[in-house]
Formats: sequence, structure tokens, C-alpha cells
Amino acid sequence: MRGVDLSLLLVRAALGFVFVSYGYAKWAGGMDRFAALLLATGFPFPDALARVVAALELGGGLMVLLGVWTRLVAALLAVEMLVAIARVLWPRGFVGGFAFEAVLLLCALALVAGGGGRWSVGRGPLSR
Amino acid sequence: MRTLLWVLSALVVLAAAAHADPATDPGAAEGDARRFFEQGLEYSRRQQWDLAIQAYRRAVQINPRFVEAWTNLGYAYRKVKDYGRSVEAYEQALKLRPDYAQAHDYLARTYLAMGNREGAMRHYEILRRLDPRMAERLLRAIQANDPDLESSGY
Repeated sequence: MRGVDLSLLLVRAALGFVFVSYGYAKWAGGMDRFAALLLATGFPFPDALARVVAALELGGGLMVLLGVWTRLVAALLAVEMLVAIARVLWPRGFVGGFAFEAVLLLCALALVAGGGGRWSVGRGPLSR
Repeated sequence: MRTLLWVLSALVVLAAAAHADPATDPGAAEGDARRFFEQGLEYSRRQQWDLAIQAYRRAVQINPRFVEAWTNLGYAYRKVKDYGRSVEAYEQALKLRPDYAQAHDYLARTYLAMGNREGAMRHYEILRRLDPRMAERLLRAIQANDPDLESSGY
């Protein structure tokens, strides 16, 4: 099972680094632009929602990276990607549109299905 | 697990197929669309709005995801007072790029020209978060009820 654990670790690393980076960019770059995007696409409470999503990406990405509550956090990130594709990115098409988010969605679903693997900080079924 | 992987793979392939256009060479098409867009810009500079509309329409026919062409098409339609089509063009641009400040500014000004102050303010609220300076200029236009006041157009 070492190969499977290594695969899960690599998927966690890819997903974790991406979400930590994008979450941090949202916090550091000011939340207004992201809030505007949410407002323009019809989401309620865009300013609060922007902070929730940025926190999910930053905190959730870190948790995925460490392997803490991997299945639960990956499920939340998968929902975020699904909503982003359906509500914002779908009109742009696959190439140059939602390809990147689709890959993130699939990686997140892989972790929901497979857990974080043996090389996780967290214990229990939610993590591994 | 295997079934799940099959389903996910099929979804990705279907999505890609639904959005691909194998009949055209994307590079060549984009070049053609860009040429019509440049023509549209030139007609807009000369304020030949009907010709600009024709050029921008060709651009978006060739490349329906050409956000700037949709935006400028909306602007040209506003100039000939075809507000319905103007709004449609801006909405198309914003569907493709919801955080495109210029399109929010122009759409707000179109709503203002239509007498829809509420619609203008809705897009001002978005623009305020995207580009505060552009939003300030828009707010002054809304307050003066003058769609062309401090407009960044031609």
C-alpha cells in the first residue's frame, strides 16, 4: 500500500499548495475583487462569503497538506470548485475556462474517496 | 471506486467535447476576430457607430468568447440608442468575465441612459470593489444623470 499512500500524499501536496496559495492571495490582495466577482455572479452577502471562501482555501489547503480531516475538507473544496465551475466558469468553456478547476475538483474527489493516506498528521476515518 | 473514476473521466471528456469547436482553427479564428475588433475600434474612434457595430458583431461571431468585443459592441449599441442590444452585449461580456470593470461601468451608464438608476447603482456597487477610481467617476455621472460624464469611452 506504500504506492497508494505516496499517491495520496502527492495529491494532497498538489491540492494543498494550490489552495493555500490562492487563499493567501485572496487575503493578501484585498478581498474586494473577489467580493465583486461574487456580487456580479449573484451570490448573497458577497463580502462575508468572500472571507469564508478565502478562509476555507487557506485553512482547508493547510489541513489537506497536513492530512487533517482530509475527507471532510476535500469534500468542502470539491463543493467550492463545483459551484465555481457551474456559476462562474462554465460559459468560458473547458480550455482557457474551467480546466484547472476541474482538475482541482477531481483531486479533491480523489481525496474524499481515498482519504489522506497513512502519511497524515490526523488520525481516524475523517483524515485517513 | 472504479465506476466513480469512469464516471468522472466521462464527465471531463463530455465537458471538453461540448466546448470544443473542431471545425475551426482557434488560432486563425482568433486572428480574424482580432482584425474585426481593430476595425471596430477604428470606426468607433471616427464615431461611425453602425460600421463599428458590424465589425464588432463579426468579431463575436467568429470568437463568441471575445469579452472586449462584446463590451465594445455594447458601447456602440448605446451610442445608437439601441439600449436593449447594448444591455445584451454587456451581459454576454460579463457572463464570460464577471469581474470586468469596464463592462460594469458601461452597463451602468447604459442603464442610466435608459432611466434605470437602480440598475446603474447595482453595477456601481460591483465597480466600487473592482476599481474605486472608475467607480467614483461613474457615481458622479449617476448623480448628474449624464451617462457620458467622465466616461472612458471614445
